[in-house]
Amino acid sequence: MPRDLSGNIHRSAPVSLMVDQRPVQAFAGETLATALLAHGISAFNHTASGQPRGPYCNMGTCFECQVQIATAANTEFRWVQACMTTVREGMIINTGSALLKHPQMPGQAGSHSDETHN
Amino acid sequence: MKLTTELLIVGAGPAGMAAADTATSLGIAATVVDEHAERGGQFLRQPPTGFKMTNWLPGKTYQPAKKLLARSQQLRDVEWLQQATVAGIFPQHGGSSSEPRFRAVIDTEDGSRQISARSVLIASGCYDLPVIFPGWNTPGVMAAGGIQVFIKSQQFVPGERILLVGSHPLQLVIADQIIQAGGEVAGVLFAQKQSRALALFRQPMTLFQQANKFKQLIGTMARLRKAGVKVEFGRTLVKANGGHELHSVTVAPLDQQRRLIKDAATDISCDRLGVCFSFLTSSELARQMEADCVWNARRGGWLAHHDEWMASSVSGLFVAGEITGVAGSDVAMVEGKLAALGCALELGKLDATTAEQNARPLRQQLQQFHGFAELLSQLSWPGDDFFDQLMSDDSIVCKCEELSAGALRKLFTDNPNINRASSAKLLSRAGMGLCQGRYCHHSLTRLLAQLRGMQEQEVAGFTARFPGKPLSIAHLIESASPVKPE
Repeated sequence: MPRDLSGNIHRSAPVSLMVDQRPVQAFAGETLATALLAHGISAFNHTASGQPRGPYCNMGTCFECQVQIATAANTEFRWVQACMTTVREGMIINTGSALLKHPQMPGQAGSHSDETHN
Repeated sequence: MKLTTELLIVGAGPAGMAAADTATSLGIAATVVDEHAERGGQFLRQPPTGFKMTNWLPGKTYQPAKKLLARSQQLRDVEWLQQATVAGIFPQHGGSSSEPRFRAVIDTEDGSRQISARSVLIASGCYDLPVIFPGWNTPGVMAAGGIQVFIKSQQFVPGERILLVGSHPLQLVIADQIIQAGGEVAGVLFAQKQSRALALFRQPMTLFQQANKFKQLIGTMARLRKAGVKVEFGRTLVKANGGHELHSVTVAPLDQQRRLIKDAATDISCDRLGVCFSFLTSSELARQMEADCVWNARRGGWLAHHDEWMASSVSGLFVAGEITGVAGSDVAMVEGKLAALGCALELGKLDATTAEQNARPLRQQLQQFHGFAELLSQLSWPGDDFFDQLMSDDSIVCKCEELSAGALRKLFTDNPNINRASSAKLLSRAGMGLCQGRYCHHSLTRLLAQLRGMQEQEVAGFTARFPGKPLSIAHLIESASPVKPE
């Protein structure tokens, strides 16, 4: 998606994230929602019935943009609002598609086996 | 973070910043709590630290709030807590105006803390009205205000082709901002007829008083025309198509009675849809504190009742900005100042004569601004029943619990004794998800009121409870443990 069109913005230094086991570059200070959309990810999670969901309000009220993150400082995966979370170097993010492959609840040791891959 | 404060302000938008500014000048120590990384509210979403924008929010309508923002950076004695959420505010027993009357639980990434306050001002703003129609949960469908945040703060255009549908003139401003940022707008669709939308220009007094806004709107229209953006009237959305990812929106014309002519429906291809009809107030904290609220769908749902000093029905609790009726940043800034004066008067920091003298010009300004806000609201509101026809049986009303309009209608028909939103919540689970009913309460309340032949006020809202937003159990336990004095 376009992000450098107007030419009147200077972005900060790039940071590296791991999104669904793929390296992704983002800019320090921007929100996770921006970084994920900029990389063409529109579904951030899935509902209990398996419906894909993505950001709606982009201001912290709707909770549609929830993703799971882990950081070096806090290695336990936890749910956060992507629109309210600032990207950090080394952040690991699981979006909805990964959640389906690796069912994982916050605080629960996640299984990273590949047996559920289709 | 301090353990006690004289005035706790919830929200660092135009109302909260103005209140902090005035409160400081009156010798009140204020603490401002705000959820976002930077202050300014939704109106002035700032670029992240480390980003440089050469032409941030250039329009004249942003100038007064930008001046206030610049001044707020100079304020001493104000404690600003950013990326912090007020999960709840409780009365402190035995509290009089000379002691802390309230205890607030504030949640941050690092944990929860409690703070005591003599007075509280809620300036929590509003959010885009969630409009319920088939496919509104499809990734790619967004609140138009959400799209605007990406552009305001980062010049990030979240889509290759963006369609805007609604009834509020704000969508013209957003279309213009998308174009300025280098994006493509697939169209701007207004539900109302052009004659109704343009009625705003036939109010000479309003034109005169709000000259800057009209000048900006005319400039916006000219730029959109130059960019070849189609602005159409009397058309609206029927459904969003795509399933996993939005690829088109089905739209249809409206007849004279604003009924959809579905036979004439067509598809517009786009990968992002911005929905821009109206707004809902963030009144959860005020309702949690049992402040009197009145239902007004057109002005934002539950509006906090207040007196001429912006004091709510709860002693020591003040309200300012959108929570009193969505009216924009000009009203918010004046109400913020007025609330600070009211607070100073109540705390005995200002005598009645001086307070009255300072308040008089503010009240005159408010009267003028309110006239414009009311007119704008009337002309941009498509009517309560307009939304009913969009909410077909297969539309999801409660997105968190995945309950459709059809399922809720059946449940309420099968249970004729249910006639309060709160009992409907217990029956259906609607409103029990992470958003805590922020996105379904208005539709569910309306649906139940219609079925029972009652008013929304009688059906009442979901009972607002602690925590105002989800917080972790670990944070909660930590905040409940005794706090050591500093």
